[in-house]
Amino acid sequence: MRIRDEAKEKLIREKALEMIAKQGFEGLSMQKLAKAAGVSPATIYIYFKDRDDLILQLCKEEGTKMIEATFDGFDPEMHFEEGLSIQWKNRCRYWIENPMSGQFLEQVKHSPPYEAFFGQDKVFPRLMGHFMANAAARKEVIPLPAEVYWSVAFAPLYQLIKFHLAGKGLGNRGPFLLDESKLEMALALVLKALKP
Amino acid sequence: MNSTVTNEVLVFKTNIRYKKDVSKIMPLLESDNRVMEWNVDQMDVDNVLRIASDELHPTEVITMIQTAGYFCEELPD
Repeated sequence: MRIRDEAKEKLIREKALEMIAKQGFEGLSMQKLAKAAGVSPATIYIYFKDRDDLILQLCKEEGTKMIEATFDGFDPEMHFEEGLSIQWKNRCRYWIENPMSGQFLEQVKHSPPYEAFFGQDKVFPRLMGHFMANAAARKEVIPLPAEVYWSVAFAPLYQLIKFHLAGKGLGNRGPFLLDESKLEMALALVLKALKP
Repeated sequence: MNSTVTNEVLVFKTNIRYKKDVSKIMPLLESDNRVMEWNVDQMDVDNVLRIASDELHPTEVITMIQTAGYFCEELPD
Protein backbone atom coordinates (compact mmCIF):
# COMPACT_ATOMS: atom_id res chain seq x y z
CA MET A 1 0.00 0.00 0.00
CA ARG A 2 1.06 3.52 -0.66
CA ILE A 3 0.28 6.82 1.05
CA ARG A 4 -0.54 9.65 -1.32
CA ASP A 5 1.41 12.79 -0.58
CA GLU A 6 -0.99 15.60 -1.47
CA ALA A 7 1.64 18.32 -1.22
CA LYS A 8 3.69 16.52 -3.86
CA GLU A 9 0.66 16.05 -6.07
CA LYS A 10 -0.13 19.75 -5.81
CA LEU A 11 3.41 20.70 -6.75
CA ILE A 12 3.27 18.43 -9.81
CA ARG A 13 -0.04 20.05 -10.87
CA GLU A 14 1.37 23.55 -10.45
CA LYS A 15 4.46 22.84 -12.52
CA ALA A 16 2.47 21.08 -15.26
CA LEU A 17 0.07 24.03 -15.40
CA GLU A 18 2.99 26.41 -15.79
CA MET A 19 4.59 24.33 -18.55
CA ILE A 20 1.37 24.15 -20.57
CA ALA A 21 0.60 27.83 -19.93
CA LYS A 22 3.98 28.84 -21.31
CA GLN A 23 4.51 26.31 -24.12
CA GLY A 24 1.24 24.52 -24.82
CA PHE A 25 0.77 20.76 -24.72
CA GLU A 26 3.96 20.19 -26.69
CA GLY A 27 5.85 21.82 -23.84
CA LEU A 28 4.80 19.09 -21.43
CA SER A 29 6.86 15.93 -21.14
CA MET A 30 6.86 13.80 -18.02
CA GLN A 31 10.68 13.92 -17.85
CA LYS A 32 10.76 17.73 -17.97
CA LEU A 33 7.91 17.94 -15.51
CA ALA A 34 9.69 15.62 -13.08
CA LYS A 35 12.78 17.80 -13.23
CA ALA A 36 10.79 21.01 -12.72
CA ALA A 37 8.91 19.57 -9.74
CA GLY A 38 12.01 17.96 -8.24
CA VAL A 39 10.51 14.46 -8.25
CA SER A 40 11.26 11.31 -10.25
CA PRO A 41 9.13 10.53 -13.33
CA ALA A 42 7.89 7.46 -11.47
CA THR A 43 6.41 9.71 -8.77
CA ILE A 44 4.27 11.53 -11.32
CA TYR A 45 2.76 8.21 -12.41
CA ILE A 46 1.74 7.47 -8.83
CA TYR A 47 -0.69 10.37 -9.03
CA PHE A 48 -1.60 10.39 -12.70
CA LYS A 49 -2.27 7.43 -14.95
CA ASP A 50 -0.60 9.01 -17.95
CA ARG A 51 0.03 12.31 -19.70
CA ASP A 52 -3.56 12.51 -21.02
CA ASP A 53 -4.94 11.88 -17.55
CA LEU A 54 -2.81 14.70 -16.12
CA ILE A 55 -3.96 17.10 -18.85
CA LEU A 56 -7.62 16.17 -18.40
CA GLN A 57 -7.43 16.65 -14.64
CA LEU A 58 -5.83 20.07 -15.07
CA CYS A 59 -8.53 21.09 -17.55
CA LYS A 60 -11.23 20.02 -15.10
CA GLU A 61 -9.65 21.73 -12.13
CA GLU A 62 -8.88 25.00 -13.89
CA GLY A 63 -12.16 25.08 -15.81
CA THR A 64 -14.15 24.54 -12.62
CA LYS A 65 -12.21 27.27 -10.81
CA MET A 66 -12.82 29.70 -13.65
CA ILE A 67 -16.55 28.95 -13.81
CA GLU A 68 -16.97 29.32 -10.04
CA ALA A 69 -15.12 32.64 -10.11
CA THR A 70 -17.17 33.90 -13.07
CA PHE A 71 -20.51 33.31 -11.33
CA ASP A 72 -19.57 34.47 -7.85
CA GLY A 73 -22.52 36.54 -6.58
CA PHE A 74 -24.23 36.26 -9.97
CA ASP A 75 -27.93 35.52 -10.35
CA PRO A 76 -29.40 34.75 -13.79
CA GLU A 77 -32.52 36.68 -12.81
CA MET A 78 -30.52 39.90 -12.62
CA HIS A 79 -31.13 42.79 -14.98
CA PHE A 80 -28.80 42.50 -17.98
CA GLU A 81 -26.78 45.53 -16.96
CA GLU A 82 -26.19 44.32 -13.42
CA GLY A 83 -25.42 40.76 -14.51
CA LEU A 84 -22.89 41.83 -17.11
CA SER A 85 -21.28 44.22 -14.67
CA ILE A 86 -20.80 41.45 -12.06
CA GLN A 87 -19.37 39.17 -14.71
CA TRP A 88 -16.89 41.79 -15.83
CA LYS A 89 -15.70 42.31 -12.27
CA ASN A 90 -15.53 38.58 -11.56
CA ARG A 91 -13.68 37.73 -14.76
CA CYS A 92 -11.33 40.67 -14.28
CA ARG A 93 -10.46 39.65 -10.72
CA TYR A 94 -10.00 36.01 -11.68
CA TRP A 95 -7.66 36.69 -14.63
CA ILE A 96 -5.58 39.26 -12.79
CA GLU A 97 -5.23 37.17 -9.64
CA ASN A 98 -4.54 33.91 -11.53
CA PRO A 99 -2.47 34.86 -14.59
CA MET A 100 -0.98 31.38 -14.93
CA SER A 101 -4.43 29.76 -14.87
CA GLY A 102 -5.65 32.28 -17.43
CA GLN A 103 -2.71 31.59 -19.73
CA PHE A 104 -3.35 27.86 -19.34
CA LEU A 105 -7.02 28.24 -20.34
CA GLU A 106 -6.00 30.31 -23.36
CA GLN A 107 -3.70 27.49 -24.48
CA VAL A 108 -6.21 24.68 -24.02
CA LYS A 109 -9.56 26.27 -24.85
CA HIS A 110 -9.93 24.62 -28.27
CA SER A 111 -8.36 21.29 -27.29
CA PRO A 112 -10.27 17.98 -27.08
CA PRO A 113 -9.68 17.47 -23.32
CA TYR A 114 -10.92 20.96 -22.46
CA GLU A 115 -13.86 20.69 -24.80
CA ALA A 116 -14.68 17.33 -23.21
CA PHE A 117 -14.75 19.01 -19.80
CA PHE A 118 -16.68 22.04 -20.98
CA GLY A 119 -19.12 19.88 -22.95
CA GLN A 120 -20.27 18.07 -19.83
CA ASP A 121 -20.34 21.14 -17.59
CA LYS A 122 -23.92 22.06 -16.70
CA VAL A 123 -23.36 25.24 -14.70
CA PHE A 124 -22.13 27.56 -17.41
CA PRO A 125 -24.78 26.88 -20.07
CA ARG A 126 -27.59 26.81 -17.49
CA LEU A 127 -26.73 30.14 -15.88
CA MET A 128 -25.70 31.92 -19.08
CA GLY A 129 -28.59 30.49 -21.09
CA HIS A 130 -31.09 31.54 -18.44
CA PHE A 131 -29.54 35.00 -18.08
CA MET A 132 -29.52 35.69 -21.83
CA ALA A 133 -33.06 34.35 -22.31
CA ASN A 134 -34.32 36.65 -19.54
CA ALA A 135 -32.48 39.63 -20.94
CA ALA A 136 -33.87 38.97 -24.42
CA ALA A 137 -37.45 38.46 -23.14
CA ARG A 138 -37.28 41.69 -21.14
CA LYS A 139 -35.75 43.47 -24.16
CA GLU A 140 -32.68 44.50 -22.18
CA VAL A 141 -30.30 43.42 -24.91
CA ILE A 142 -30.47 43.53 -28.72
CA PRO A 143 -30.66 40.15 -30.51
CA LEU A 144 -27.27 39.13 -31.94
CA PRO A 145 -25.53 35.95 -33.12
CA ALA A 146 -23.67 34.45 -30.15
CA GLU A 147 -20.18 35.19 -31.47
CA VAL A 148 -21.04 38.80 -32.26
CA TYR A 149 -22.55 39.21 -28.80
CA TRP A 150 -19.51 37.68 -27.10
CA SER A 151 -17.06 39.77 -29.10
CA VAL A 152 -18.80 42.99 -28.08
CA ALA A 153 -19.65 41.94 -24.51
CA PHE A 154 -16.32 40.41 -23.41
CA ALA A 155 -13.49 40.88 -25.90
CA PRO A 156 -12.90 44.52 -24.80
CA LEU A 157 -12.56 43.32 -21.22
CA TYR A 158 -10.02 40.64 -22.11
CA GLN A 159 -7.99 43.11 -24.17
CA LEU A 160 -7.81 45.50 -21.21
CA ILE A 161 -6.74 42.62 -18.97
CA LYS A 162 -3.98 41.79 -21.46
CA PHE A 163 -2.71 45.36 -21.34
CA HIS A 164 -2.82 45.22 -17.56
CA LEU A 165 -0.94 41.91 -17.32
CA ALA A 166 1.68 43.15 -19.78
CA GLY A 167 1.98 46.20 -17.54
CA LYS A 168 2.02 48.58 -20.50
CA GLY A 169 -0.42 50.08 -22.94
CA LEU A 170 -0.12 51.01 -26.60
CA GLY A 171 3.20 52.06 -28.09
CA ASN A 172 5.43 54.02 -25.77
CA ARG A 173 2.74 55.40 -23.53
CA GLY A 174 4.31 53.81 -20.51
CA PRO A 175 2.74 51.68 -17.81
CA PHE A 176 -0.92 50.71 -17.95
CA LEU A 177 -3.02 49.82 -14.95
CA LEU A 178 -6.58 48.56 -15.28
CA ASP A 179 -8.29 50.34 -12.41
CA GLU A 180 -11.98 50.50 -11.59
CA SER A 181 -12.61 53.77 -13.43
CA LYS A 182 -11.18 52.42 -16.71
CA LEU A 183 -13.12 49.22 -16.29
CA GLU A 184 -16.35 51.17 -15.72
CA MET A 185 -15.58 53.40 -18.71
CA ALA A 186 -15.27 50.44 -21.07
CA LEU A 187 -18.25 48.62 -19.54
CA ALA A 188 -20.47 51.69 -20.03
CA LEU A 189 -19.60 51.73 -23.75
CA VAL A 190 -20.25 48.01 -24.10
CA LEU A 191 -23.64 48.37 -22.39
CA LYS A 192 -24.50 51.28 -24.64
CA ALA A 193 -23.77 49.12 -27.67
CA LEU A 194 -25.77 46.13 -26.46
CA LYS A 195 -28.88 47.88 -25.14
CA PRO A 196 -31.80 48.37 -27.58
CA MET B 1 -1.89 17.06 5.71
CA ASN B 2 -4.61 15.04 4.03
CA SER B 3 -3.57 11.69 2.67
CA THR B 4 -5.27 8.65 1.23
CA VAL B 5 -4.01 5.14 0.73
CA THR B 6 -3.83 3.60 -2.75
CA ASN B 7 -2.34 0.49 -4.31
CA GLU B 8 1.38 0.32 -4.82
CA VAL B 9 2.25 1.69 -8.25
CA LEU B 10 5.04 0.17 -10.34
CA VAL B 11 6.44 2.29 -13.15
CA PHE B 12 8.62 1.14 -16.06
CA LYS B 13 10.27 2.75 -19.03
CA THR B 14 9.52 0.63 -22.12
CA ASN B 15 9.37 0.65 -25.90
CA ILE B 16 5.71 -0.39 -25.98
CA ARG B 17 4.98 2.33 -28.47
CA TYR B 18 2.01 1.51 -30.65
CA LYS B 19 -1.44 -0.01 -30.23
CA LYS B 20 -0.24 -3.30 -31.71
CA ASP B 21 2.51 -3.41 -29.07
CA VAL B 22 0.01 -2.77 -26.30
CA SER B 23 -2.24 -5.54 -27.58
CA LYS B 24 0.72 -7.94 -27.44
CA ILE B 25 1.33 -7.43 -23.73
CA MET B 26 -2.37 -7.13 -22.90
CA PRO B 27 -3.07 -10.88 -22.45
CA LEU B 28 -0.06 -11.24 -20.13
CA LEU B 29 -1.23 -8.49 -17.81
CA GLU B 30 -4.95 -9.19 -18.03
CA SER B 31 -4.47 -12.83 -17.04
CA ASP B 32 -2.49 -11.98 -13.92
CA ASN B 33 -4.93 -11.36 -11.08
CA ARG B 34 -2.30 -9.55 -9.03
CA VAL B 35 -2.56 -6.67 -11.53
CA MET B 36 -5.27 -4.33 -10.26
CA GLU B 37 -4.94 -1.78 -13.04
CA TRP B 38 -2.47 -1.11 -15.85
CA ASN B 39 -1.86 1.23 -18.77
CA VAL B 40 0.86 2.42 -21.11
CA ASP B 41 1.43 6.15 -21.59
CA GLN B 42 1.64 6.30 -25.36
CA MET B 43 1.72 10.11 -25.37
CA ASP B 44 5.06 10.36 -23.60
CA VAL B 45 8.55 9.57 -24.91
CA ASP B 46 9.27 6.94 -22.27
CA ASN B 47 6.21 4.83 -23.13
CA VAL B 48 5.73 4.33 -19.44
CA LEU B 49 4.03 1.13 -18.31
CA ARG B 50 2.12 1.77 -15.10
CA ILE B 51 0.84 -1.09 -12.97
CA ALA B 52 -1.17 -0.83 -9.76
CA SER B 53 -0.50 -3.93 -7.67
CA ASP B 54 0.31 -4.70 -4.06
CA GLU B 55 1.71 -8.16 -4.74
CA LEU B 56 3.67 -8.00 -7.97
CA HIS B 57 7.43 -7.53 -7.78
CA PRO B 58 9.10 -5.25 -10.36
CA THR B 59 11.46 -8.02 -11.52
CA GLU B 60 8.46 -10.23 -12.35
CA VAL B 61 7.04 -7.50 -14.57
CA ILE B 62 10.38 -6.96 -16.29
CA THR B 63 10.69 -10.68 -17.04
CA MET B 64 7.10 -10.78 -18.32
CA ILE B 65 7.55 -7.82 -20.67
CA GLN B 66 10.98 -8.91 -21.89
CA THR B 67 9.61 -12.36 -22.68
CA ALA B 68 7.09 -10.64 -24.96
CA GLY B 69 10.06 -9.05 -26.75
CA TYR B 70 10.06 -5.53 -25.32
CA PHE B 71 12.51 -3.35 -23.47
CA CYS B 72 11.48 -2.81 -19.84
CA GLU B 73 13.32 -1.00 -17.07
CA GLU B 74 12.01 0.06 -13.70
CA LEU B 75 11.86 3.80 -13.06
CA PRO B 76 12.94 4.44 -9.49
CA ASP B 77 10.62 6.44 -7.20
